[in-house]
Amino acid sequence: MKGGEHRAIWLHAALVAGLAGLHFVLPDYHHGIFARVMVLAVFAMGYNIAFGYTGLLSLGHAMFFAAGLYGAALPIYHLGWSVWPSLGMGLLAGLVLAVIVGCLALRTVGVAFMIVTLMFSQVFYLTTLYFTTYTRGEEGLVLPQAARMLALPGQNVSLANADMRYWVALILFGVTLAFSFALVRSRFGRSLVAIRENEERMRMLGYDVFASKLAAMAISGVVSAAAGSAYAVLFGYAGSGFASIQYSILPLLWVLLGGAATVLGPFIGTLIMFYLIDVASSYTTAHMLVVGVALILLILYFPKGIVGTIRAKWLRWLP
Amino acid sequence: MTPLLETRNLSRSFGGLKAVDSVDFSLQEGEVRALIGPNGAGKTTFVSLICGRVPVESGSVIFDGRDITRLPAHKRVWAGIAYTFQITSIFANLSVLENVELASNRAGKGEESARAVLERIGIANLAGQKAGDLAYGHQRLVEIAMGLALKPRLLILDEPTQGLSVDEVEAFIALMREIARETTVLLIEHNMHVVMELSHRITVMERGRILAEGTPEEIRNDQAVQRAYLGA
Amino acid sequence: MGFGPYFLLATLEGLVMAAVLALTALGLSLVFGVMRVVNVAHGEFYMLGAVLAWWFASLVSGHPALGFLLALILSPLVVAGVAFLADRLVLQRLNYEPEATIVATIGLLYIIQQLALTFYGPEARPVQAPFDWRMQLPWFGYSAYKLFVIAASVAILLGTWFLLRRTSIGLVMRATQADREMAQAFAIPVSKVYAGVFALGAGLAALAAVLIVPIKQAHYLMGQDPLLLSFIVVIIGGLGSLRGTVVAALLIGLSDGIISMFFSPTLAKMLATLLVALVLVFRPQGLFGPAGMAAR
Repeated sequence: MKGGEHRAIWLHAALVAGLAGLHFVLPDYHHGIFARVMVLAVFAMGYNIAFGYTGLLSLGHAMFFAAGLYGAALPIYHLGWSVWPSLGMGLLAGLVLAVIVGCLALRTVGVAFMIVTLMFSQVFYLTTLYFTTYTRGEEGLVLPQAARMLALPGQNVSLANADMRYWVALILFGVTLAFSFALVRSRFGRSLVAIRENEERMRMLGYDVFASKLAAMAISGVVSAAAGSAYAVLFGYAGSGFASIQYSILPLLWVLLGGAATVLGPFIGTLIMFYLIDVASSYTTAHMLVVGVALILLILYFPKGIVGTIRAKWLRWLP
Repeated sequence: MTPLLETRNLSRSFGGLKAVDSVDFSLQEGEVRALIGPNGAGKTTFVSLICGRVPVESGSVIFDGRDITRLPAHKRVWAGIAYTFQITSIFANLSVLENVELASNRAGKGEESARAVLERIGIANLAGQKAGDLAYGHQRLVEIAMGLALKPRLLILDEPTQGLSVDEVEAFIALMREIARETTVLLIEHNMHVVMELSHRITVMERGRILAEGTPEEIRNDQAVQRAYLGA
Repeated sequence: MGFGPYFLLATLEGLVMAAVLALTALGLSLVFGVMRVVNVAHGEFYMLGAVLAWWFASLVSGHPALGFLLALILSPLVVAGVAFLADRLVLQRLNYEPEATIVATIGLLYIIQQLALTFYGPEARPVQAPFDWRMQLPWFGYSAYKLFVIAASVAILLGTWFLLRRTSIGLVMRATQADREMAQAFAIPVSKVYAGVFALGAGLAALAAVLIVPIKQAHYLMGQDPLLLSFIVVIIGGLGSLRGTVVAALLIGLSDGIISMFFSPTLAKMLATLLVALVLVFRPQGLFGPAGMAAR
């Protein structure tokens, strides 16, 4: 499949390049949306590793995103930390949480796993509400612009600047895209897919299935937390809403729409859904209706999602 | 000579039913042992206790001198035990080669080794095909290929000829003779022709216990076995 | 008022909560028990019951008992009908595959909730209780309606128990739960049973909501807490166990009221959710379910 590999690499590189190009042409409003979409697409890609590739339908990924979000925001807000160490803190929080939750939740399968992850996430959400003195609950923390300076060799860059925001989001997105690409083509990535297909067989082929799933959860959690941390420093806000059930349902929706177990799917799904909801909210307060209808239509008629269907029907080489 | 595989007082119940009842069993390296018995005798459960699919309730399993009773299933594969499923359990959406590679990767080898195994089994020409598209008989062979690619010392086959045509069964027997030169084989079988042709010794199980053990000739003439099977 | 009477008051309030919770949780438990389906939209059926109750009651002027009666009869029926449709149009087509079904019910949740927001609005609206009597106890007066709720719930629970254990419909349901394929072999129309059970589960939730709505108000977000609590009850009580559901509902209903009086409700919810998640991880059959009957 060498030809397919080259084509795939070119396609993904072209996407990143295209997004870079859009920086120069997009009007301000859409420019801001794309920056947001890229960060949330990282979240979706993180979720895809657990759900799409390993078959772990978690209904609690909001907690990993929020761990990254608060892990970065709290030190900046309360301790005056600079951006880099705070980002590190966010990633660490995501990793630790993913490992703990994974060790517990992975003792269950199927429906029980969904419920357990949902519940752990609810506990996290309620925790952010309970410690309202530190997190300011639903109202949230607004990170002052002065605190959002990224220290680069040679200069300090303000992340409140729309241009810088876009570039940072793009770099994060590009790195995550490349990482996903490499992961799914690696031996480990392929073993995850096989585990999803037939866990018992993999066990009898000598694979430590629990350890593999835990690793998948950990990676998924860290990537989701990376998105959360980035969101905090780029958009300067951390609120309980990001830990709520909605932010566990959304990545599921994005990945389903774009195509589970594809590398490009999460981005496509996030982009389309974001605009759909955006358009709907200009018409009605009940814009989440779009989410409900989309979920049902997708699961009934279109379970492979956009990129998944394209891959199945036409472009078999798509990773 | 220490046996390659030994079980002592091995037991397992489900609910109130003793599926495997205090079984003492031993298997020498290089043997081909057939495990036969009526349905519900506990053969698959017994074999699952050995390969780790089902946890042991009491008793012990000793492999190559080492007590593996508490060892998790995936670690027993490392120890040298490979199990092929009764109901074909291959990855339908992957190619035949990819299926076998999953196994050979585990043995520390790669694509070369997987192709060699396919050669040996005689299905190298199917390497690129999607496993789910194959005829049933070929799928069974992929199953066996996966077991072999693990380079096991003990290969456990659970009803490998079920659903195969007469020709395919003959081809299977020939293949097994070749494999048995390097690997110890324990197979559960209902096909008496296969059992008589291949096995050095036969173990007969009934209701969770070993009813009889011996050479094919001895078993053929054993009255208790005839009663169990034929109700004579 | 001394501690004793205060505790009695708390207990009565807890019993009312438990009564309504038992009905709601029973609906969820039946659906999971028979169909092996986790209906995340269950709380929205509850909410829909309350919202429709308000609407039906508002159609009738005069004695509030008339409006309430109308709501009590029609609201669960309408909600059951909605559930029946959802099952036929969506769940059946998915063949009740567990993960797909959950995603579909999440979609259903959003649709019902947002439609309520659109047509009912974001406000909370009260429904008048059918009667305004108070029972005079030695230490305080207590709403007779609340006592009625407890009594009604007990009656409905008994009725459901009777339906399940003593009628042929119940037998059919239990047979389908025990072994779907065998049931089909016995010419039981499994898909119809499933549609019926799904409708019954939704109807029970709606019924519970109609009973509670004169006490609390009808609001488009009111389904969230009952959903979580029902989950807790069903998991702790063991799936498919009617007795377990009732006992767990009593436990949770009573303790929730008492704990909320001493600790913050957020903390109470946190601890309850965490406890239940751990129960599901370490003891999947709940506290009452038979060993081996896990929430698979």
